[in-house]
Amino acid sequence: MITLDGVSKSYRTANGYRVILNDVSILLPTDRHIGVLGRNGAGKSTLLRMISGEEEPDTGKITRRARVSWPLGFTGGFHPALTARENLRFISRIYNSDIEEVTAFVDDFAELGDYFDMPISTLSSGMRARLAFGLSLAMRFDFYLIDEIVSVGDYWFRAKAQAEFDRIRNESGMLLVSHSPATIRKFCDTGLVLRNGRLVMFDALEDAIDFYLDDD
Amino acid sequence: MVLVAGYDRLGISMRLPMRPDPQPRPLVSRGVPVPSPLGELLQGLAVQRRVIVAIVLREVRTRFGQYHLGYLWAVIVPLLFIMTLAFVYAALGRRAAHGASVELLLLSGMMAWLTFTDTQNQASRAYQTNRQLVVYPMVSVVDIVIARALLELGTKLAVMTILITLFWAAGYDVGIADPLGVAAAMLTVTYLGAMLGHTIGCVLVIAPSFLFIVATSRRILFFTSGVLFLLSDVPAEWRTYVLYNPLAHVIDLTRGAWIESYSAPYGDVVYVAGWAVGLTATAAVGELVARRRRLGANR
Repeated sequence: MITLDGVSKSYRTANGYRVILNDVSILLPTDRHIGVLGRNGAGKSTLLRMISGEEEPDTGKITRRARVSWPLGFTGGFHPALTARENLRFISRIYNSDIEEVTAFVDDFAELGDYFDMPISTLSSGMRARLAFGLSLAMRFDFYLIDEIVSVGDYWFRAKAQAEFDRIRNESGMLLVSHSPATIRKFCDTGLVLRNGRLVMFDALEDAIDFYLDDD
Repeated sequence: MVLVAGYDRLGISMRLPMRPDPQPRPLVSRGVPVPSPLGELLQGLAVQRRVIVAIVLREVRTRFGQYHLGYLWAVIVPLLFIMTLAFVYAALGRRAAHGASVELLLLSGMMAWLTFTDTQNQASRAYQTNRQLVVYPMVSVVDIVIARALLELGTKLAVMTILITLFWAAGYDVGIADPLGVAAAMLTVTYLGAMLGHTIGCVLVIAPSFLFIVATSRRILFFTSGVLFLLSDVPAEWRTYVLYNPLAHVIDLTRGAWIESYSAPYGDVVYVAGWAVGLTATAAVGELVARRRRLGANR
């Protein structure tokens, strides 16, 4: 369960404050597949970063009572001077996961070859994305945060990534943000709409999509 | 697989099966046992200990790992400093007092000073050089500061042991009269360095230009710390001002513990403790203000 309690967030722009969330209180069940619909610039990615704990709300509190992932595919959590293997060791340690098992899984999944023992700064962006995706899978989070569905790597990797993605969908809850009703319809069972600083929850997914599309 | 949920800072151990389960598991509602406040605190401490150990190991790799000269450098810097100054003092005809050699006075003062200033520097840059860690909710900047202070203290104690051995092999009398006293002094400079460093690090989050003042202040602090002289050599009217510097006290106390025949007449433990308490308070307030700023909160 993730609790947002009186959460407000805004960004300062040239024309004053831009409100992302305005005093939002909501309970997010971590065993559901929650789709968050919002237009470009509504603040979907900011919401995701706040739920992951990477960013603080201006006021209010967010409580996580589950193992919540970092935004899936996020590659900024690696130390650039350390090798992929060394980064995995560090992250396994702080999450209390088995170092050998995580390393074996990611080595097999991400297929970095010799680059597995090279500093992260020498890896291509595709390699980093595969590494980050493999690591997210290996950590076995209760609740995955996903910012749009982006395919990573070449075709073959996509097939493998797809299979693993289906697996975590069966085992874990997730929160997927997207501007596309089709994506939400395909992957989610609960709908939320982010609009004008409000986060509105719908029991029926189609109601959320109707509400989202009705915004004109 | 046992599914246990917990708070951000709570430890959760999970075994990772090597292969996906043959049958997809149906989604089940995961009950969340709310731990008692004491249980929560203990689990939180266990996570913090784990995080600090992980950061220490990581820092060892990033600071010394790439260049094997890194370890050597930690020994060479103070050694060169001591040898150069000892040479200058010899040329000027200066002799050490209290039956101790110039080398020993410089070695004791320099180890205390370097431990302080290097810890302070590492603590001040803890956030700046580890920004990528903000994505992991169980890691706080305080954990990085603690890990770096521990690593710095360990490194300096090792360097001190090596230097004592080198000087001893070269025929100098550099033995420590009261090892516990010197250890306490080293622990004190590490603590002062960490608290001052973290305070500065928090101020830098809000006002980056503050860095200029830090560099200037460090020089003043060094020249008044008594690394280069004994407090008894300083004229009494100047000594009053020098003794505002808490490091002058700790360095005097270090020498008092290190050198059998020196009694540290000016080192005041209570004064140093006052600074330790004060800097702890500024570091705590700084963390409260800077933590939300680092994570992008406007207010």
